[in-house]
Amino acid sequence: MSGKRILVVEDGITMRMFYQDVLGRAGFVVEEAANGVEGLEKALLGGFDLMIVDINMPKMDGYELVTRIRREPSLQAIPVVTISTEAKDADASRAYAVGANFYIVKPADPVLLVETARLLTGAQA
Amino acid sequence: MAIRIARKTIHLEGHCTVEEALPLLEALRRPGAHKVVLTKCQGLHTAILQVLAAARPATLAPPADPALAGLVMPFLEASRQAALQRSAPPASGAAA
Amino acid sequence: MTNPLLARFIPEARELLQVSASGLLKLERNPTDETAINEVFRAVHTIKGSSGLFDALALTRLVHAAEDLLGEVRSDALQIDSALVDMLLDSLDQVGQWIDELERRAVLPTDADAVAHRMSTLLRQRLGTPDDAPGGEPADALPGTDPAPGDAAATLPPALLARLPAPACLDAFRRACGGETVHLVLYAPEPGCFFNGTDPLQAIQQVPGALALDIAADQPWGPLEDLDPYQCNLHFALLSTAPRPEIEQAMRYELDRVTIAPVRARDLVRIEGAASDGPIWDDFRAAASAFLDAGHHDDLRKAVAALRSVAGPTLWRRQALDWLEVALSAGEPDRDLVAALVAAAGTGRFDPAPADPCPAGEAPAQQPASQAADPREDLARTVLTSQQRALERTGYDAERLASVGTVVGNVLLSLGRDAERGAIRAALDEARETRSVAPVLSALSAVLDGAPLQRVEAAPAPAEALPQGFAEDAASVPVAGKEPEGRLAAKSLKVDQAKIDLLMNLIGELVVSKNALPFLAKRAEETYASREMSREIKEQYAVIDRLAQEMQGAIMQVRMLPVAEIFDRFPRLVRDLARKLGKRIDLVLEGEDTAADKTIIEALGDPLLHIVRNSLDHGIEAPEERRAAGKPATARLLLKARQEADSVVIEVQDNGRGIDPARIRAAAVAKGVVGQEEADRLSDQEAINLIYRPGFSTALEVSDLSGRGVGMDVVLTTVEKLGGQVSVSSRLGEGTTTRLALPLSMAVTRIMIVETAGSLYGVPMDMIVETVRVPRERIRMIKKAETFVLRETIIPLLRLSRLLHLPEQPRGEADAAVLVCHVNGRRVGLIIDNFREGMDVILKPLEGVLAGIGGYAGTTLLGDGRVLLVLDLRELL
Repeated sequence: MSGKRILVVEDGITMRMFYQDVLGRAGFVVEEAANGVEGLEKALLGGFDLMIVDINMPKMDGYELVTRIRREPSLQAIPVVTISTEAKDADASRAYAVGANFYIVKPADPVLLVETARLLTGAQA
Repeated sequence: MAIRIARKTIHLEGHCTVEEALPLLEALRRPGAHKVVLTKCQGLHTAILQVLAAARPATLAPPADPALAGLVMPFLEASRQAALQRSAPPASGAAA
Repeated sequence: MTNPLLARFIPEARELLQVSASGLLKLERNPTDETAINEVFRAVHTIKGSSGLFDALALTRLVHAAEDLLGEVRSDALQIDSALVDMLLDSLDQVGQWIDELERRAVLPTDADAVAHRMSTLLRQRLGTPDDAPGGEPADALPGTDPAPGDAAATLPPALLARLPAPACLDAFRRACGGETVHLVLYAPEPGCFFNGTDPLQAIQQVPGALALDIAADQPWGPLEDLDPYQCNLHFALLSTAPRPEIEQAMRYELDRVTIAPVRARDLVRIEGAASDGPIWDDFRAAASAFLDAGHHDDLRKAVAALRSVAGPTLWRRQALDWLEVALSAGEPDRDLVAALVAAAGTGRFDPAPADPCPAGEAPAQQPASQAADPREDLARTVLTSQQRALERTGYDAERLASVGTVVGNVLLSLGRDAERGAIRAALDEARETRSVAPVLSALSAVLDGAPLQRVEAAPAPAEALPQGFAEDAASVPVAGKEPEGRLAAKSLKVDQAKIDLLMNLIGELVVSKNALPFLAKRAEETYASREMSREIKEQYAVIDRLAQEMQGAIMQVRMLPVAEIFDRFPRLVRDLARKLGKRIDLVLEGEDTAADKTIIEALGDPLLHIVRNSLDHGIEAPEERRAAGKPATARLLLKARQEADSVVIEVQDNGRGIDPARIRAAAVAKGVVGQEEADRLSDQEAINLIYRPGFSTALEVSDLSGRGVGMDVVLTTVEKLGGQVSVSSRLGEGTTTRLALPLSMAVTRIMIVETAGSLYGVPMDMIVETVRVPRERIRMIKKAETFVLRETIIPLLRLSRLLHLPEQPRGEADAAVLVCHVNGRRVGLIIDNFREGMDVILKPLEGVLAGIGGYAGTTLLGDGRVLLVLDLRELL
């Protein structure tokens, strides 16, 4: 059990459950936010080791959220993985450009997801 | 419509989808020597590609788009070569 | 359905489909409605994203096509019109059906692929692109399948190698020698794959880092007459420099048809050309071997260059030199490979598997890839490379450096590479001091170029470490205890309907138990003569009664649904019907937020549907007729809900032709619903009410829209069963308004207990107007019927015992207890033996054989355990 805390920002309720399930089983503590605004609010409360951010969300999309996260001094160093159904280079580039550290295409392979989370949080397998 | 047929000349233009495989095949099934012009073709579905490979039209004008030409022409040319070899008496075995 | 994730997905998808459909209708009315297009797009997008988690390929595919189309609309590349809306709505309907199917059977129907193909092709035709957009294939298998045996290096089939262009092979060879991992991707599409929308050519082109692609026929081509163009007979081979995860990512929907394996440099060697001989080659071989053995690579390179400059480029041996030169250009040339190529140039024959087997420990040092079969290793590389690229792109940026620093540090920590962590940390410090990314970039390169990243002793045990999927494991949801303090509570919960129903039943039983207390109080007083005890019980009862009522109110609130639940269906329905009928209708919804009990809302759907259909069918005129009548061509249909005291009132108002009482009278007589005489006596309003009589329909022929052999009487029956009322008002030429009034809640019924022929019965309170005691002498016989006069109105009297076929017990001179009720629009007096208390009960409908017995609304349990039959006076009278 790594006990590392991950904030998942995702508007789809099924996807949120997926993250809870996959990452929860792997020993992560998963918090959820259903849109960008909520995501930013929770992120600012602090204490997360990683954020997983969906790109296409209501209110504030993933790009916007990551941009804002990086503007917050307390959140500049947090690893951020963006996740999207789009496999296009342009989308990934945009995510990296606004400050993401990694880009995953949906639906994420559970194995890949867990491994990514471990690597980015420094957790042991 | 990405397929345009003028007598024995079949033009495939733009993006050719799976829907065009059947009309293409029917056109190529008609007796006679066919010419297929891919010059304005920008992309083709696998189904189109295999119809062209199987039908081996007498003349094949490659796509103007070099990327697409590079992608499909080696295969299409090879298919036509294979057909020629099969119809000709066995060629002397080339050194492997 | 045992998969909890699927159980979560189904309601989500339904909700999103509803959002999409209503958004589309808004868009149709106002194509520039940005909020609407965004809403629809996101809803469809979310369905697509989530559906990828399940084995619902066809569904994902169709939703994806819809999403692409909506994306074009959103970016203004495509204009939305009614035909497009039709197509999209049809597709969403299809998705809805599949959702139903997933709920029932957890899999899609067998024809789903074909349907998805057909529909998405239609959609994509509007898009003007081929059937498969990049990355557009649907999810094919659950993620996590790894078909390739990963660790085994691939050997290229000689036939394949011969078909690949030589320059591409040489390029791949150069990269392999330089330490890059070149993967061979073999892709054998399923023959029927065109039907699920896969375009293999398109798919394989998505693989990044492609060096060479070979296409070949699986089976030799037969006669053209026998060719089935829809059976894929091609397979593909691709050389790619991309890391394995990227290839898998690109081919993720076809993974079960793909094998990916690293290729050894030696296997890429492809030498062609004319044979040649001569001492020059033998001399070269001798000299080159000596240089090689001595490790003098530079001398060897010089020798190769010298010979290349004199040998003709078409010669086989000269080409061997070309490959040798490339092999030598690597920083650390592979000795065995160089030796094999030296031998090739010397002998004119290349033996890719040299006779001297290289010892295992010495295995190809130029290939970190042989270790990289571990996905963790590959992933770590990809993550680190991404950081490197991001830094390269942004240049020095303190913010960026912060998160990159965390990520790189964490990756190394996770892999147990403490030494490198120190180096990276130092590089980060240096970068901050010098305000330059260079130190970090070079430190990263050092990490990436070094030995395999994976700490050997920490090799993961995948079987234990990896998630096992979701199926059949409801316990997979994290338990609350595991969660940290300060976890924010979810703002809303989705609760299973059954749980609410259970709560409802429990409260019902609580209410019943509570009702036992007055009996107890009575017994305390009557049997034990303890007034005080009786009073205390009554006080306690009052408290429990209040709490129970509050609980009931609270749970009632949970069960409340907004009328929008049913209203939302109508925009689509009205639109479709209007188009079918050639009528123009502007549907206006008002008061969608008005809430009522779930049971009421759900039961309202059908009657409302009937009324609306009737209005569209008969009420609203065709545009020409409306114009001729001096009305606007577009009719207005208003669906309006509001709360009035304890009722929810719903009005359906149209400005159509109205109901003609004369026509109704005539039709009613013709159909034998009423006699001519009665018809003539009816007021216009009463005539209009005839449409609710069984067997009445004004349509000259039964229309397929409102017909189906069901008349408006069904509306009346349904609404009255719910305890509601229906009324119609209409003005000829101006329109019709139908008004439904229903109780806000039907979960608890207030009844009065009455005694007749020695038994107790319940009568719903809402039927009772008043209770009176009528002296015997005031009961008058008119003809054979008993009546009495109540405030100057003659009220007919009926004996409940007679209605229930119970033996009569004459009560002599006492006053008659009369329950004045309002039933079927009339007042009647029911003579009973005695009135008893009123109470709130939960009505349980009669079940089994009893269900067929008319006259009873249901049963309820009394506090003393007796079962009370509650009468349905409408049926009884």
